[in-house]
Parts: sequence; C-alpha cells; structure tokens
Amino acid sequence: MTYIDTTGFPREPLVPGRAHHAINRFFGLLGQVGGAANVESSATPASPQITEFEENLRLLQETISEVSMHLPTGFARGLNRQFANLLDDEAWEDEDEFISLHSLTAFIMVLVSASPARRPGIGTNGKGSITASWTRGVNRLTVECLPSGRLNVMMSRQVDGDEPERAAFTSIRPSRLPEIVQPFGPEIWFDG
Amino acid sequence: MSALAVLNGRAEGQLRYKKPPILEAVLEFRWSEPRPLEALVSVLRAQAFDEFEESNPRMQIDAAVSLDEPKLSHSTKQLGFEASLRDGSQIVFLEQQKFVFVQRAPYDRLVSFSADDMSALHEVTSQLAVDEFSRVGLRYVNRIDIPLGGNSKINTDDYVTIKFDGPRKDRGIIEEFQMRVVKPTEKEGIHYALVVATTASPLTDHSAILLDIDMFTRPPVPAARDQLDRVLKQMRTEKNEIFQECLTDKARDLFGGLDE
Repeated sequence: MTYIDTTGFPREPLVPGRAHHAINRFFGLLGQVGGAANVESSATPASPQITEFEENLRLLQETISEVSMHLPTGFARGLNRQFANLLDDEAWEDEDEFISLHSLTAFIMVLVSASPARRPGIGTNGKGSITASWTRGVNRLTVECLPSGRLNVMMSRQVDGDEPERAAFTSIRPSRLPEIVQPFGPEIWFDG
Repeated sequence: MSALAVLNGRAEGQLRYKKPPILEAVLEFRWSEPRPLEALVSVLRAQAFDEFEESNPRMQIDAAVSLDEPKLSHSTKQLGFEASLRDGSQIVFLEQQKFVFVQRAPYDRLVSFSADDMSALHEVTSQLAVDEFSRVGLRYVNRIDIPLGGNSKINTDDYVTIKFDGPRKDRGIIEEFQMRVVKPTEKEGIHYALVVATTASPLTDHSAILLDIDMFTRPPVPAARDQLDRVLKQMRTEKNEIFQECLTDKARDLFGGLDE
C-alpha cells in the first residue's frame, strides 16, 4: 500500500491556465533531458506585462477557476464575468482597495458549503471585501465576505405575508453559514 | 474543427463526468523556424481573436553572473504575446515558434472557442506560412480533490493505479510522491509524459493527487487539416485511455457521476 502525506506539490500553486508551467518548472529543475514538456522550461520565465487591475482580476479568476469543478454548473464562468465587470478600472475610485484574496476564499467557502443553485449578485465596499446578495422580492440575504476571512450576514425574510423579519450576524465563520440561515428557510434565496 | 472541439471531442465510448477533475487543457503547435514578432501581431488582429482582450507581450528575462568580475547581467527577450478572454476561461499564447491554446477549468462543452470553427489555428498557419508542425501537444492537467474525512493522510492506492514499489520496507509513510515518465504509445509517432504527484487541494479538509497527461508527437506533423485531424484524434483517444487506466472506481466516484 502506498500512503502519502498531504505535503504540497509543486512548490508553487497549481494555477489553472498556467499549471503546466509550474509542473514543467518543477521537473525542469531535476535536469531531465527527455520528454516533451521540459523543452518548454526555457520559456517559462516569460510573463506578460499587466496592470494592477489585470493582476487582481487574474488572481480572482484563477482562484475561482481552481475550485470550479466543485461549484454548480455555470457558476465559475458567470462569477468570472461578474468580477471582470466589477473590476472595471473606469468605475474604480482611486481610494478603493482591491479585493482581498482572504475575502475571496471566504466567498468560495460560502458557495461550497451552502451550495446555492442561484448565483449571487456581487459587489465590494472598496475596503477589500466581497458582498454577495441573493434577493427575491422583499426576501434578501446579504453576505459580506471580509478580508479577515469572516462573514457579516444580514437577512430579511417574509413569512405568510407578514412584515419581513430581519436578522444580522457578525464575524461568523464561512462554514457556519448554512447552519445560521437554516431556521429562516434559505431555499427562498438559494433555490433555482 | 475548433481548438475547443479538439479538446472537448469525445471518442466513442468515452465517459464524461459531471465534475471532471480537469484543471486545464492545453493544445500546442510548434514549428521550427521563428516568425517575426510583427507577423504575430498581425495574426492576433484577425477576426478569429476578436473575443480576446488586448494581447500582452511575453517576455523572457535571463540573468547571468560573471565569476571573474562579480556582477549580474540581465537580458530581456520578447517571445511573443498572450491574450485571454475577459472571463479568463481561455488563454492563447502566440510565440515566434509556437501557438498554444489553454482552456481553464471549468471544463465543459458549452463554450465555444470562437464563432468560426478552426479559424484561430487557420489564421496562425496561413498568415505565418506554417505547413508543418515540429511538435503537436495535447495536454490535460487533472487535480483529484480527495476528502480527508478527519484523517491527515490519504492512501493513493485507493485512487490511482500507479504505485511506488521501492527496494525497502521502511517504517512510516511516504511523505511526498512525484513521478514523471515519458514513453511512446503503441501508435507510431505519439508519445506521452505522465506526471503523478501529491499536491495541495484548494479545499479545506482535502488532499489532492495531480494527474498530468501530456500527449505529444515526435516526427513532424503536416499542418494540412485532414492529416492534423487524424493525429489529434489518435492523441485524444490515447489520452482518454491513459486517464481511465490511471484511475480506480473510488476516484471516479469523486467526479459527480456521468453526464448524460
């Protein structure tokens, strides 16, 4: 039996679109001379000249792409389009901070743990967070994914035509979201 | 036939999973004689690349240290250009001696490379006057995410059929596993490089196994459509067989079942 530990390989992230470069570099360092991909290793230092906006967008899109197989069909492509629109440099204020990777990680954990069938609307507060919202009439769920990796959650939920009930939670762990929203009947927000 | 059709093509009897573990799929075409950068710019202005964002130069920076008089010197060379779709799902690299098309995850068949099938590769071969490829590559990088289920280790034998059969029976576990093998297939002129390795998973409480299958040709391949089609089809069939033969049923169970 072959048992392995969970040590990471290669020594750099396997970024989709450039994963083959990372693998080539790793095995290129071993000095191999045969085969196919190692021939590329001489060209792998190549990197495009891109702006800060493009860099941030690329990072977000690559991270979403990396977990896309665990998201509902169509989510990753749609989210990557949404982020491309959100990071339009013409709409960006000078003082706005780029979206934090920790916020994105929290956002992805929300999607993976809550498994919504509907893609959320997204926004940012200019301080590195991601705001995800699911709205159906007066029923609204807003999840602010913070650079700390935690969530602020605000809910508005109408039952039997009554005045909507409102609730808010601060600084919760992303994996706890399904548990938090469960008593409020989350299907109104999440179901397709 | 589009680049995506080549990557997505399903050989007879091939299984397609709901959640395929493909991180990226790559099609690469190389030629021997370098083409001038100006010619590459012209190719990227063609209609076939309309959906791609403005291209960026791909630079290679070399550094050298002189031991006689200790100093570091740099040289910069432009290899070509790269461009991607706005949603980041596809990237093309056009360099002086190669054209590369990359489809990033998610890998599904619902997207199209361009409005006109085959137009991008056709632009490359016609504008750059390439009538023969020195190498054609078809490569799939897979990452199989495996839930740890409260453990800190996984048993790779449960998921892949490739094993370590070393000379000794030491105590403890193998702490890292990285293997790369290059081998010819039974099909004349088609070879493959297979990488199997442990890697980190982006999901919490998961580990992962990397399975990278890089099919490539050794003798030159004519760029003519029908001959190229035939070679690509053979490569895809070989790749699919290797992929299936590397996996156990327990690994396949992680892929969300079959897509009808």
